[in-house]
Amino acid sequence: MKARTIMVYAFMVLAAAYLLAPVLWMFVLSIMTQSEALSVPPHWIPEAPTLDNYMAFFNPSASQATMGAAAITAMPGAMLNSVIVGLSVAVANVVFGSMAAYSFARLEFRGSNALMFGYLVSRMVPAVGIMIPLYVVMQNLHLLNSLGALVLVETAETLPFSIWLLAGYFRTIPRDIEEAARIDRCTWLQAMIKVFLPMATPCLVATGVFGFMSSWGSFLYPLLFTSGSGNTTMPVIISNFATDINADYGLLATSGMFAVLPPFLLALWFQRWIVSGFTAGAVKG
Amino acid sequence: MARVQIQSLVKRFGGTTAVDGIDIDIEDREFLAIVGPSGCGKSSTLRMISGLEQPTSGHILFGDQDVTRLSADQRDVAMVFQSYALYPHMSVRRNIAFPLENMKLPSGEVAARVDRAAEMLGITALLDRRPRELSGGQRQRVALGRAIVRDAAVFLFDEPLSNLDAKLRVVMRSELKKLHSELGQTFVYVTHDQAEAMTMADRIAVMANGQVQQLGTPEDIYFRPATRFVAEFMGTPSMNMLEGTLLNNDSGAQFSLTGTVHTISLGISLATERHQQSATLGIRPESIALVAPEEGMLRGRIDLVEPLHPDIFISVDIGGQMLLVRTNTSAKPVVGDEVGLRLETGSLHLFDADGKRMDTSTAAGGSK
Amino acid sequence: MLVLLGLVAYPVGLSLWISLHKMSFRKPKDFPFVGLDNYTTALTSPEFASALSVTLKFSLASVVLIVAIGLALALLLNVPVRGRGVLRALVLVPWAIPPIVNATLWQLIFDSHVGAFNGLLMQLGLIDAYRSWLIDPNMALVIVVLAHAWNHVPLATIILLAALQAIPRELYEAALVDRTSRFRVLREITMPWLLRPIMIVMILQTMGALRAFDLFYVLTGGGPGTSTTALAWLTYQTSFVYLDVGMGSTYSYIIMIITFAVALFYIRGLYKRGDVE
Repeated sequence: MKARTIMVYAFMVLAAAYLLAPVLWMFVLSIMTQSEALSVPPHWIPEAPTLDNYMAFFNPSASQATMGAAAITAMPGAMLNSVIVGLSVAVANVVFGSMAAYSFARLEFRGSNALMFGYLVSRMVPAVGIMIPLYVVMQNLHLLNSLGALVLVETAETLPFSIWLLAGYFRTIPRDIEEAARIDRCTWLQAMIKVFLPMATPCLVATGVFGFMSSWGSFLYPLLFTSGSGNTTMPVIISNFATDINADYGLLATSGMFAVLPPFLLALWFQRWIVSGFTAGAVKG
Repeated sequence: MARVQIQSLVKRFGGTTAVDGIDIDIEDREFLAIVGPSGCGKSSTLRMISGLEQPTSGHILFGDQDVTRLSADQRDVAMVFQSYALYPHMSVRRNIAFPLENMKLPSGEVAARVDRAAEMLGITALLDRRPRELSGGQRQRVALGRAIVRDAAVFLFDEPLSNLDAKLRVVMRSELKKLHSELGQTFVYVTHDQAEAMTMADRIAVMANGQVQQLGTPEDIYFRPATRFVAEFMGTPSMNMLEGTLLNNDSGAQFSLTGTVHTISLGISLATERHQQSATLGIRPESIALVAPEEGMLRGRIDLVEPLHPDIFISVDIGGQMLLVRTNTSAKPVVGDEVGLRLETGSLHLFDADGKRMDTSTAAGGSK
Repeated sequence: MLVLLGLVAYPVGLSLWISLHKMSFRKPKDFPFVGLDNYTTALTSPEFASALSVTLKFSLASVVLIVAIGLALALLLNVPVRGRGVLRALVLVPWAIPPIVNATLWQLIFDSHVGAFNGLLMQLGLIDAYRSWLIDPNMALVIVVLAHAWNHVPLATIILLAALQAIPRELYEAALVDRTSRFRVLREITMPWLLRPIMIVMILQTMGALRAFDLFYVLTGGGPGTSTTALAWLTYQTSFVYLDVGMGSTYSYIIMIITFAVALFYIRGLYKRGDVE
């Protein structure tokens, strides 16, 4: 028994290393100076940790203005754009997703299968597959270079999964409780707001986080629909940065850290809810 | 405060008819139990009274007001669910206060009422807990509290005791009855447990196949079942049913038991003109006495003896039909013995081939 | 909802329409109908054949790897020992990383000049000089698969862990009473129970792998040569670099058809088990 526990812990350490090491390396790079980042063999632990790379994004003129200067200046604006798109998509997912999921969960017209199927179909359409016509559509709607286009497209792409997730969770909430609320003198809307939605909080949060993360990480759509540094989102800037052979490794790593931080904090913060939110949807499916 | 009238109520779900035209007139302050096997339409009826379900046709009146088209929140009803349906994200206090808050009562009044209800139910100590921290019995009390805190016109109960263990169920039975007399409100109580209906209700509606088989006091139901279904459903152990032929001639009605030579004189006059028809004779196990073989009206062989002291249940085989006898004799009946049976003629129930009671004037319970 | 549906349905139709034409962003006015010509061209061209094989290799390897690691992690996290909560939180780390950053991350690791992988191998004495891993045609695809899998393992783990925790305790207790060996418990109880969730994970991951694009964009750009030119990348390149939109749409339609076929295959599998609600 003892040996088994030790083995379990050994595996857990291994797993933790697998999960963490890549990000840690990026973090380490981000707090190194350019010269240390270039050292061979690499310094696993920085000798002179510095926040210069981070400062550079707020005060571009300060130090390494030459390397990837365009990316640096564009970053704050792009981050803001990403946040705006991410939050909008999250809200849209929660609002429209829960409305649709509620009807699927409560009106029993073979919802589960149809929903799963709808999800598959919409996921089946690869972004690359519809990017051309979408581009034409957005051009005609004069939505190119606008954040609205991104919100619309990202919402369309994430919504089926959200609905599927929410409907699974909603089904675990007994109908009795809603009815009790009606008996207790709530209108339908009040019953939703005071009783149903609070009970669904974990899944609503999971859905919102999922929507935010998906659009936060989305790359192809902003790459296509936006041009110029003012309108685009963070992933595009990072990719410009990453594909630039002159890029400063420390700065590149730092920009990565910036991009990782918000979803990372969200995931940690809402860890419990995300897992329990996924549980109902995924298991019952 | 509210008389509840149910008029030709019908509920269909797709192709199936759950409630098939029922009429019940519930008096103010009455405790009415609706009892029946699962799927008989009792829950649908309750849900239509509550407003959670809309009837396909028919009317429901509270007092003089037609509430048929009002939704649950517009009617003044309180309800206790089988699953209790407590709000998991609220404390017990807020659970109980919730309906009052929705009615926009002043907070002082809300607090006072919650305290009073909690005290009545003995759950004052639990007020700050969450539902998940409570036992089944405690949850049940909270659900009751959430109902009685209201001054509702009608109180509805949907099998509220079926999730409790047997002992607690008996305790709650008497508490509910006490609660009814303290509150002085109209109670409608749905259950599949005929014992609950018998012990608590002023009147009982027995339902089967979406129809009311009989509506009456517990005594009516027990001693004068209107149909064979009611007779068999109410009472444990259930009533014996003997198949046979009813002979009606000048000397009076006689019942000839299938598979035997026995004929029982019923000593009653029947409304029917027919001389001969197949029928069922019902008799409760406690209305049969064990006698010497030659003294009985029927003769049979003991098939099984179950001592459930102080009573003993004895199954007697009479020409292939089984008859259960409940007795507290001190004599030890032995399996295989030949015995005679004496039936109390005043406690015989005769049902025609359709299961309808054939009026026997000698039965107890008076006329109605 | 209708707007959103339209946003998916309309482009799908338009895409089909375009794929039957010769169209280029260079000559937007020129739009001749060519019927299935684009499709015959595609299906016979060596680029397509190579891209298809890259895509299939990538998807197969990714899905297998993700399910294997995800399952291992889920089983590990289901062992009741102290401190597993920490690891459960850590599982979410790769999940929180946007694909584009994921690409950057692995680029930094496999970099030919300063990469951590080079450094590590060197210090362990396995290589004597830094190598350009991403320029090695054999290695590039492997690296893309590893990077993709790392990013997508968490979702698989979460779903499988959730399913594991939903296994009724009585099943295990019954097994314990019956003196079943640990291995048999895994094979006879745990795995059958997990079959359905694993199927769901496989569906999600196959879809995800077939549409993967970001990694190719940053990590390899389809290279070296065409060794990592997957269908998604070929489509992008054809449409937006060579501006041959008609051909691009054809490719994208082929991706859709493949995806659809794979999905049908899985769904049939799910239905055949007869336990779909």
